[in-house]
Amino acid sequence: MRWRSWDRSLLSQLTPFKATRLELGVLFAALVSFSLALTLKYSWGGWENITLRLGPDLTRRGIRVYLETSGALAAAWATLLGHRIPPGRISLLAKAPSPTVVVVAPPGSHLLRICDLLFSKKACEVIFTPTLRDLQAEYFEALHQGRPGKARWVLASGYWSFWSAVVAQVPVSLTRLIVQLWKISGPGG
Amino acid sequence: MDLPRLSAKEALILELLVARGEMYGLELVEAAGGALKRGTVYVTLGRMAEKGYVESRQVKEEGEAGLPRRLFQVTGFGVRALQVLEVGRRVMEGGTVDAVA
Repeated sequence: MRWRSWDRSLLSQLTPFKATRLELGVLFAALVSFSLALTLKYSWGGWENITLRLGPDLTRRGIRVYLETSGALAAAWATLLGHRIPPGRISLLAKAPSPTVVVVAPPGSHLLRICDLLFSKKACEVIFTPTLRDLQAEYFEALHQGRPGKARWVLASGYWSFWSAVVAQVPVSLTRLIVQLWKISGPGG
Repeated sequence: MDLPRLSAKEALILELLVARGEMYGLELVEAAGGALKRGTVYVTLGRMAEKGYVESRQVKEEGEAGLPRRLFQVTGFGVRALQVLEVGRRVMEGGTVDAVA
């Protein structure tokens, strides 16, 4: 892909050398990696506490990356990824019989983002967040008890509940949206 | 003024909330013994909140950083709606209408 003229002129002002887009990309990636490495090292006290390993997925068939670490670090990691895991749950998981396993992504965290896009804030707060909250609480409780079968069942029924709620709420939200659009586009709007 | 209309599920939820106080969705499902489904309980509660029968608040338990729990409780209007329903039931069963406290 060719550079546009203003790209070139801006680049020539910003950098003392001529660089291709690929070179700039590599430089950017290196800077991001370096920053992340520094954050990891100085915020969480070294590398020795972090172990990433591949293992069987507790809830789905297949392989999954697990973060093997102490509770506080897992909390920080989860926060960095945007997944909120109750610290209480993490410490419980950390104390679970071997191997010490922390699930990095709690179930349903991505669904909540989808809901934020599709539904109103109020609907998310009253309907979908509590639904996922119940799912996560039951799921972690089952894992803590060392019952992956129950956790799998909780996950399945929880997702079923969630999508049932979505199906039940869609007509309401859609009707509300149409009414609002009607009011806006009407003669008095 | 129109009389409030309650579906069977809404009436059941109001009865449970009046009897037991503040509850969250999963508690209601467990207390209802199969009459309420997990997938629709919060949808029903959301609609009841819009009608003014219930109100809710988020509860962040101490030391928990996860999603907040939402507790629901019946409003005064919800209590009156339930009383109206009970009076209606009594009348339909051939009883007399007592003074409602």
